[in-house]
Amino acid sequence: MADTIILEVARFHPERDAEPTYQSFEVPLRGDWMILDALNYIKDQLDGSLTYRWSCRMGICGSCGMMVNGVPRLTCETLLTNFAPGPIRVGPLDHFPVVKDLVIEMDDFLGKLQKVRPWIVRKDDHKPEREFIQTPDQLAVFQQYTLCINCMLCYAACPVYGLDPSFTGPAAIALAERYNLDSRDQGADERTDVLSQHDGIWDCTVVGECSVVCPKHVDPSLAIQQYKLTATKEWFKSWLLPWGNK
Amino acid sequence: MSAQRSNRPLGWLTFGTGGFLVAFLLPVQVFLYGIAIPLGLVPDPGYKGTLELLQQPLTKLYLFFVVTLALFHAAYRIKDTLADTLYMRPLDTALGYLCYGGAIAGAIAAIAVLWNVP
Amino acid sequence: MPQYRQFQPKPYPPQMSAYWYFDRWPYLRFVLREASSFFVAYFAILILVQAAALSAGPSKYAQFEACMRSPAMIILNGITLAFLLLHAVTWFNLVPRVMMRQVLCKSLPDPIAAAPNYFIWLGATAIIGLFILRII
Repeated sequence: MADTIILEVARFHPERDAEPTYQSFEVPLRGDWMILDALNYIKDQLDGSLTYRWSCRMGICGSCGMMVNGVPRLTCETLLTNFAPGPIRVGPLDHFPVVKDLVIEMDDFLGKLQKVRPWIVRKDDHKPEREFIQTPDQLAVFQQYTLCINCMLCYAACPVYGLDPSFTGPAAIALAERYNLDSRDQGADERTDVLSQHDGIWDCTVVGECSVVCPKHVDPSLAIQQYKLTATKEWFKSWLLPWGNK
Repeated sequence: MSAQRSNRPLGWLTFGTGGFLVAFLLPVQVFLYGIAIPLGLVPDPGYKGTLELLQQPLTKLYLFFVVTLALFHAAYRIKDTLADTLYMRPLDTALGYLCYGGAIAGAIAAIAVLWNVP
Repeated sequence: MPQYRQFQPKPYPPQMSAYWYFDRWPYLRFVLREASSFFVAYFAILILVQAAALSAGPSKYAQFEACMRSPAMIILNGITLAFLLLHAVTWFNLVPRVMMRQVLCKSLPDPIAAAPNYFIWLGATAIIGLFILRII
């Protein structure tokens, strides 16, 4: 195996460049290095102006998502040697505006996250004297969807989101479903109005790439299809029993 | 309340039912009528045999449901595919009328054809 | 973006290629799966054409059968069969998993959710085949 590997890293300076270009860097090819380690090496030794997000370097914060050879990956979890002899193309996450180099603007996702109200919603006013009781079976219904780290790799992988940025998107819907299925939550009807829009769940054409790239195996595609079933039931109920919802 | 909500659930339900019927029931029909019988791989039931089969009320009912739901299934998917691959998203509503209009026309044609079987 | 600065540098807007589905094999596989719907519509119409030909009499049906024997139709129907099989396999591997999850409220390994569908498929194929070949 060679000593070094070439990384072609996307560069974009908003005040100087009209569009992103790729700059090549030669980094050591260490067996235990991730792409993130290579980027840190570039920033420390070769070009201090390289800008990118990272934090925990262990795949739990969701900050370091980038496109690696056209596939959205967490760079702290992607081994350099998997791509030897290279070169490796590292770019900012697809389908998001690029602020600088590898940093993307995530306001759209954060807005959608807020819209689906991803917290326990209670309709009753009384203050509970103790914690809500939940059996392991009740937890199993939604536990998979709690694993989301908001890394937005699923948005980068979803062609529907790329074609139509108003699509609510995999992570937001999975998180809405996480709370809808939670036995402690009473806010399913509040989330329904957001999700049942045309660009809520119905934009989804089950490409399935969101679930493939998810580093936490949340399977947002499953959540969306599950919610399609629920939404269809609700739709029929609202037509057949219109007084039921009042 | 439901004014804001999309009416896609109805299309999706026919898409789902049609998808199941198409997946389970159509391949053997394509294989036999489209490939095996024309190529002589299986004994040809012939005009008399096939007409006999078609004349049974159960067959007519079966064909009506399969054809109609297959067309509605196809309408949903074709509309989405055209919107996604040919950048026709702004024409979403027009595409919807075209695809579902075609499906409804097909359903009416199915009733007409099956009704007129001697 | 916040509006408090007068000279805000513009972020580079996201780009989507018109041929995005050629970029990666999973996307092409998806579009092929969706394209099966064109062939579904075609065959549904063909069923009606066949029924109309049957109603029109033996000579018209003979014309229909001769047309079905032409190489172009054999190839078209062959492609249709391939796309239908693609639809069936992708459907069985996707849809039952969701329905079982919704009904049972817990996850099943994918092969267990998909397997019953293949058995039903075999059964339905056998029964319909027997009807078409006039064995029953």
